[in-house]
Amino acid sequence: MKKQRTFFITLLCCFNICFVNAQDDVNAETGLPKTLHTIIDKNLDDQFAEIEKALIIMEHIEPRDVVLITVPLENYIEDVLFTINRPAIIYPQTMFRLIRKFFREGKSRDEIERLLVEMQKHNQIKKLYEEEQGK
Amino acid sequence: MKKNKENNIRRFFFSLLGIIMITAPCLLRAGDIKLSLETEFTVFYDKNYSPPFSFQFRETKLFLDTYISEHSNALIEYVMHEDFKRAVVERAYFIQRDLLFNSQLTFGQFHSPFGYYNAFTVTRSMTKNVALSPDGILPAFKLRSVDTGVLWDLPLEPMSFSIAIVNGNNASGLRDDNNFKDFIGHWMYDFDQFQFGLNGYYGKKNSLDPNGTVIQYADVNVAAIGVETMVLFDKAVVAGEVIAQKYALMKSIGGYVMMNYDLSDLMKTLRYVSRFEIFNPNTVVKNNIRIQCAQGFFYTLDRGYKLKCEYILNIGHTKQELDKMFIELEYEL
Repeated sequence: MKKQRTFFITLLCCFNICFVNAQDDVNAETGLPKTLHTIIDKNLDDQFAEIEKALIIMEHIEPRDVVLITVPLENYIEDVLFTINRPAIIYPQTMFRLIRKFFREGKSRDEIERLLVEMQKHNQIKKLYEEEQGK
Repeated sequence: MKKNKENNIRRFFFSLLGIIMITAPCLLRAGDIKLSLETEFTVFYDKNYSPPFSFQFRETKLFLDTYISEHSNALIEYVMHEDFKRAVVERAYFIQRDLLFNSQLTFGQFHSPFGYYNAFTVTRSMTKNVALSPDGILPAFKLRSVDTGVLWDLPLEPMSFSIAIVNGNNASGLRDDNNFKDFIGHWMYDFDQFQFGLNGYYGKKNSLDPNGTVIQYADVNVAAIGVETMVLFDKAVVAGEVIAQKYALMKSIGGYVMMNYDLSDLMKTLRYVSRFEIFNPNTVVKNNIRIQCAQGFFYTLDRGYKLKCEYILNIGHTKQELDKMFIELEYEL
């Protein structure tokens, strides 16, 4: 137990000394990164909340229409990917543009929630991201 | 007992204070180190225990996720169990992504890459969580574990490979007293809506003499093979695993099927989860088959709040254990 504690504190100290590096792929307008790799529910949660916030501020969408719109997608990622021991890779900038497009097309909230899960299941958000990046 | 509990709580808060003091300068300098806390509060009904009906903090997890660069991350997960009586470093590792062929390398203490790590349900599968210990002398071994070593993940879409070399201590620990390194392999093929995978584990455990000291160079083989599969439907995800294990002369076999069904038509963010499992921890012993069925509902109340309710039904040999029920509130800070 004592050894574990020493190991834990030593690691934290190493982080303190070594690792500070700003995220270089953050969009200046929306404040969203291109990609996020995580295995932590909370980080995923915060990132999805940021996407919704950006939609409210940038697109002037009514909060009641957009707040928690990404929850079904988040639940799907947590239930499936985290359960089977895989990290989640999400594409916040691509998702922002995608949801914005859906709103501009006049799609309903329920439809957008369903489409996001569908697209995640078929890996289409990743494909869209790769198209945007010209990969 | 009460004093012990007070000491544990005091120790927890001192540890927390220490962590905050150490990490504070980092957190102030950069926004790319994320500290998060996940607490699971449980209302627990289990006639096997006294008191059968209790309220408890099932688990509290403290995460420190460090974004080092676009290609690398480091993570520390500190878990406090059962009213903070037991606390361990669950995971502590560094990941380097985008290496040769888009592969990634993980160093440190991580979850074993053998098959699925959790079930969809609150309770975990017996096949991977029941520790095997032949004759009660050899060190316990279970597949759902953390171990220290190196893990290499290679995605070659639609396939993926993972290979790990670990201590084989099968527990959170710094000292490697195992004189053989264990190997874990995982292969998966993704057919879009259907995934299929194979898993393998091979290692050796140091045997212990009756007084508990390690008999060096007296190794006992441990091996496991597994098949995993997952099917994605419109409203449901169904997954399952079949695993056979051999540890010294002890052989075990088990398998489970689990489902996660989206009930959002009935109520937003409501899901039905279930798991059916058959497990024989020692095939040499007769009438040893355990059958378990778990049924439950998960409901997301708001961002970071989840309510989970689950009933576990024991059938067959496991019937000796009485059924139990959980109502759990998971909260993320």
